[in-house]
Amino acid sequence: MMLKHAIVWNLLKHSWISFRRAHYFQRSLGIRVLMGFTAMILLGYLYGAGMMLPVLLQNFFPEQLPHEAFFSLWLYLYFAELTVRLVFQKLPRQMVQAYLTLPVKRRILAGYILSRSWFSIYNVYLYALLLPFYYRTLYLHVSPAAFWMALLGTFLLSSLNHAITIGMRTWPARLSRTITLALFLFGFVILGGILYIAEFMEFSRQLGQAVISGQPMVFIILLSLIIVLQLLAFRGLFASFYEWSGAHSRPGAPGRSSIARFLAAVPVYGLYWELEWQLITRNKRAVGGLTQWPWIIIALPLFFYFDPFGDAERYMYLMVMAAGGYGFAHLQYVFSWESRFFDLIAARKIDMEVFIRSKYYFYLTLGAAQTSPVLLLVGVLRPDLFWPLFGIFLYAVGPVFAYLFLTGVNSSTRINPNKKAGFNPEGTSGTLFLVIFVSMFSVLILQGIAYLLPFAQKTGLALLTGLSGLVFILTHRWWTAAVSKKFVFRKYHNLKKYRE
Amino acid sequence: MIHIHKLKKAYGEQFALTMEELQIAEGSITGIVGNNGAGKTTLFRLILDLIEPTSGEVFIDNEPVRANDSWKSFTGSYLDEGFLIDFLKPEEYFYFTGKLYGMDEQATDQRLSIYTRFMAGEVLGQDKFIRDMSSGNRQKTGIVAAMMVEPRLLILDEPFNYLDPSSQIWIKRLLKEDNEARKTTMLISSHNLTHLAEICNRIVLLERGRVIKDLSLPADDPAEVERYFSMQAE
Repeated sequence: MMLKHAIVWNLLKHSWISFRRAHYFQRSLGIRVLMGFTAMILLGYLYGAGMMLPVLLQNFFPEQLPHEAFFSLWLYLYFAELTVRLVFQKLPRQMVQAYLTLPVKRRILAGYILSRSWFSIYNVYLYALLLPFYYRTLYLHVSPAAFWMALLGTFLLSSLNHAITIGMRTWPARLSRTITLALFLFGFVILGGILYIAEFMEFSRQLGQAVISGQPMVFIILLSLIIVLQLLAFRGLFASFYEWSGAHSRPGAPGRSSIARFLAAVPVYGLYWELEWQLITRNKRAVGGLTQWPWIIIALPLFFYFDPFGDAERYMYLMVMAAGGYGFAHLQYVFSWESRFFDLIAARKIDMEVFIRSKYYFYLTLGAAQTSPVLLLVGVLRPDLFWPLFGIFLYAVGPVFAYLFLTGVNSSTRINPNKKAGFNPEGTSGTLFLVIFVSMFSVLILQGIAYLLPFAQKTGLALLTGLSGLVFILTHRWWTAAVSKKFVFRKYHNLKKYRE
Repeated sequence: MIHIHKLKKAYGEQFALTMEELQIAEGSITGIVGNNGAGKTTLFRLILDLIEPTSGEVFIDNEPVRANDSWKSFTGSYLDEGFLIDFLKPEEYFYFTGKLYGMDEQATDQRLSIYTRFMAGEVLGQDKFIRDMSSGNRQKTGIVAAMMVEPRLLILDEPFNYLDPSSQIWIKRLLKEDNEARKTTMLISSHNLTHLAEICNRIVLLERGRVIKDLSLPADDPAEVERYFSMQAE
């Protein structure tokens, strides 16, 4: 008994040490303050939204009480939350890999992983939104009991999502994929409003009412589901242990794709283009960004089409993140992706100017290929936004890419592109936050200037962003040469950090 | 071929390498030996211009390595896994490396045929990324990539590590044959003195970044170095 407690105690202690020694805590005080500040702003936004929500719901659904309107959408909210979890929430399995070869009972490890998984930001952040909302609507206008019941129901629904997500991480990949697909189909057809929308909203509202009136059966059913899912996850973990220790054979590596062949045939740059393509398609973290793109192609034009707030042109600055295509996400970490083999690059006769220029051409082409369908759809659905978005595209692949390259050279962070990122902070730094902010807010400045021009604001924005984009595209040989000089200047420092 | 002049590398207060003068003759096979922390890898990284010296200079063909990189076109090297692109298959890696030295895929295939027995059917055609291969096969991949480009200067750090006994015999044979046929200058580090004594015509012993013995073989007795290690162990 003592031994078992000692193991659990050690596991908990190691968790704490690994948290304290995590990458983001090794940063400078300024960067940590900035990251903390950003987190506070995000929580503040949620809290503010929670405070405003009763008023908004009253405006949208004047015939219903705010909490009733909210409960009609309750399950939608949790489905969205589940989607976020399925994409980002991870099983904290790295904590135990070292213990697999030690004489520690696997059920202790499995129990530890499951209990450790509950200490997750995903189980907390929604309360920043819901606490003020429940307080303003239920505590003050229904009853304190209804407030506490709603909190309990929220906790159980959130826990159910947690149990589903963790279960998916432990069950065989094929089963998890099937369940994910089924969930998304369900979401698309029913929650997406294609079929039975009124019935589903009514069911969601009744569930909310049952929760705040404290009907025990609702709580019992939810709790039972959570327990069953956790037990299944517990069993699934045992099978996963063998996978983690590499007992299963790996599938064969994919062959050279036709795209890779095509890229390789390009003179001068083909050699590096093929390498770049292999880098982003054969590494888990890198490929993650690429596979999200089909969703963006559909979601962005639809978002503009429905334009829920009726002023899409005002937040065009956010589009800078999407308009550059994959390059925006990838170039934030430029050179860190190659950190694992940069000794080879540095020891071979490679013209750094050509190497960097080839990278720029690659992401410029990829950005154009990714943004073209979005532009096409926006041109059909919201023709007035076509030119502003096109301007933002040129701006993203022009000055923003140049800025990302220049700041990327300064980053000596080592990244393993084959390690799934999710919300993994590896490689993320306060500097990168700043880089993203600067990229977006520079568009805001141009938007401000556009007000002063003798054109409609959208035309002004399209002109300013488009022209500055073109200037950087046309002068790329000059600034890519500057990037390569800067990289050579920082070579020893970066190589040292890449090796560490 | 290589001239090291007043070379020093310090990490903070600690000097990892302090080398007044060292000449490596064209066509020689020089073995660098020393215990952990002796400065072998630091020396190789300085020669390959991967780290900045605190002072001093390395010259290859009378050109300082930091001033221009013409030496890269005739230098093959493999120090560790930082020289491997782990998401490529070995064939792709060989083709990529070959192209950097101006070789097309056909020429690369031709050169690879020399190393078929060394790779023992476990590297090529395995349908595996380098990252999924065993340490021994990754080591073979790195060594072959460095050698197949027919460099005038070959630098290998601990090439016998992770290799099975047959592969160790093979690599020694390949290194000797290459040196005899093309007069390749080789710089090889190892903890294993027996291996080095078999192939090298010079052995340099490092201790805490300094050269403490410089033996010419077969004139000098490599047992001198063996005795040094025995004394260190006592």
